[in-house]
Amino acid sequence: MKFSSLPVLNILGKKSRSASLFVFSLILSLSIFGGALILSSLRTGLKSLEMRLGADIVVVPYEARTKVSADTILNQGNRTFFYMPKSNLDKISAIEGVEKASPQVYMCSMNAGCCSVSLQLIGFDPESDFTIQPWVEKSFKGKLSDGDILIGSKVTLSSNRKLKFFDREWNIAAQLSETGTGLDNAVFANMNTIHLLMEAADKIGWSFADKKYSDKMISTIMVKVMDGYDIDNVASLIQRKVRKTQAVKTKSMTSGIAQSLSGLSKIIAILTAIVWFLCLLILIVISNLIIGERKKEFAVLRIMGASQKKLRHLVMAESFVLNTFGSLSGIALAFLFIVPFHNLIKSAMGLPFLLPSFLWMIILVLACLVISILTGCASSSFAAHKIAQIDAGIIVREG
Amino acid sequence: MILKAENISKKYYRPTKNASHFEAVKPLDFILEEGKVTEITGRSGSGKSTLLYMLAGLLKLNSGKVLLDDQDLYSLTDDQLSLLRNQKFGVIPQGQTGLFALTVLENVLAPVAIYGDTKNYEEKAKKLLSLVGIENLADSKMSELSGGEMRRMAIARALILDPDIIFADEPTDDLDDENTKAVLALLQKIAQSGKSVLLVTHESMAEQYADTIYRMDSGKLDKK
Repeated sequence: MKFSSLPVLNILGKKSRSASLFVFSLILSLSIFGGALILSSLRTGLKSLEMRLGADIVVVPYEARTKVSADTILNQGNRTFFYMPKSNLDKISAIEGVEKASPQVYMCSMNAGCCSVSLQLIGFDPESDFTIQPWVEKSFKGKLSDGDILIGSKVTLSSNRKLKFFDREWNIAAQLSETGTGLDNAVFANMNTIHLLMEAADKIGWSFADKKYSDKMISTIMVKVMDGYDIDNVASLIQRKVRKTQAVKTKSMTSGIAQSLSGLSKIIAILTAIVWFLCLLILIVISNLIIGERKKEFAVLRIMGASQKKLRHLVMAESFVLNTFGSLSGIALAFLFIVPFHNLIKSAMGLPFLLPSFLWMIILVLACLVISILTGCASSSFAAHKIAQIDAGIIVREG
Repeated sequence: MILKAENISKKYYRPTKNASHFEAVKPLDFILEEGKVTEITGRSGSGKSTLLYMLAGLLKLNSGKVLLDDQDLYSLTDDQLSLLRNQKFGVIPQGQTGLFALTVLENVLAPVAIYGDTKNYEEKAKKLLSLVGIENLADSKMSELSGGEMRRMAIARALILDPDIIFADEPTDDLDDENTKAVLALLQKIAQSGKSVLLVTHESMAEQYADTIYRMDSGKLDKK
């Protein structure tokens, strides 16, 4: 037995006493890490949303202007479809200040026997696309063939790697990585495949666009503005030159979400700070009560020859061990509450929610561990200093 | 090893009608002789235990010095005094002084563990437990011991590092007559081996084992 083993022996020797410190240390780290993980996931989700939008301007048919917002397709994944002439693409590409323009076509599958599942279907042009393609390339390196589809992370991947839409089976080329947005519930295909889907729908009586013009219709045009050009000005130009369209600035789509996120972040941060402060106070009180209860024990150690320094180290070592295990347990509990249920949290909050990368989670874990342990140890430091100053002779005499 | 006290005194702040302080130990000189059992007896509250802890370096003095072979104990740093107390003194405190998180054997080894590893002292610890008659309780927790058994554990603990000076504060409290005699005989044997033993007690049987007897009354020490 060494003096260094005494902290653990003391902790195990009086489990009920140790449990009170352990529990509050657990609550402290649970709230700090839980709050940090939720905030981080909200920020990652917003960043993912902004990346998925990619474009500076989304051009839609005028009558569909209310259907396009970050709250609809991109965030909630509501199924929608609308169309405008494909000729708008050339008109917009020719406008001064437009660097890139790429079309997308929307349609949706049905909640009926003809389809495996009711989803948003999005057609894009892999040659000109700059919003979906970068994301696709993370999971699919090949060329997307006609008849092949890509599915979002929340779409169930069947064992035969096929999905049925409009009484026809379509081959799943790949499942895309999670974005934390409504796009995780969507299916993507190239333009030819989308037109084949439209034809298949038409065959069973579902018409999205007039059959005659279906390959001449698009739903949206994603626009990238050249450096040095004002986005507002380019958007106004588009609306002036291309009739019956609405140029929606993507910044305005996400600013509402960013504001909600900012407000929510402040609330979470304040709540976390309150819990931290309360736990610190409670830990200080408990530490002092426990130390008061153990005065005689420490007096006996002084009588045996333990110095004030050794007593302080003993108290701090006990605090460190308890707070480390408490903190690790709190962090583990936060993981258990948040990670498996992150989709529920996303639905409840109505905001983009994407768990951060593994590396960032490790950084969060370490940072929260350090904060929790330091807080716990700080709460014991006053008690440790007090106990080291005891007059052992008086305490033992008084019994 | 000679322990000497020169003009030591101890006051406690305790305001009364006539005074602001209570003099627990009035200024006195004292020598603890080597190879002898020195007993200090007296009524409860006379200042005996206070004097013992002052001599053991555990209670700050209001005046005077305590010298161990001419080394002023209270001029040492806390680290130095604590190490000295661990290596040279064996203190048997009054009352129940077991460390509740540890077993009986671990309690006896605790003074060793403060500055070293107990590996080489386990056999000695078991022998000491046998000497005080509780060898069968080595693995017991403090909560399982009676007051007398805990007192005997404290005696074994005080002897583990073979100290030069034993300070025993009411070591026979809670003991029956047979164990009282055994403990007093043990302390006498230790003194006869060349150690110094300071015994604070109001046990009448102790006089038979003491070489020098002092009486303490209201903070004043007189040799009997």
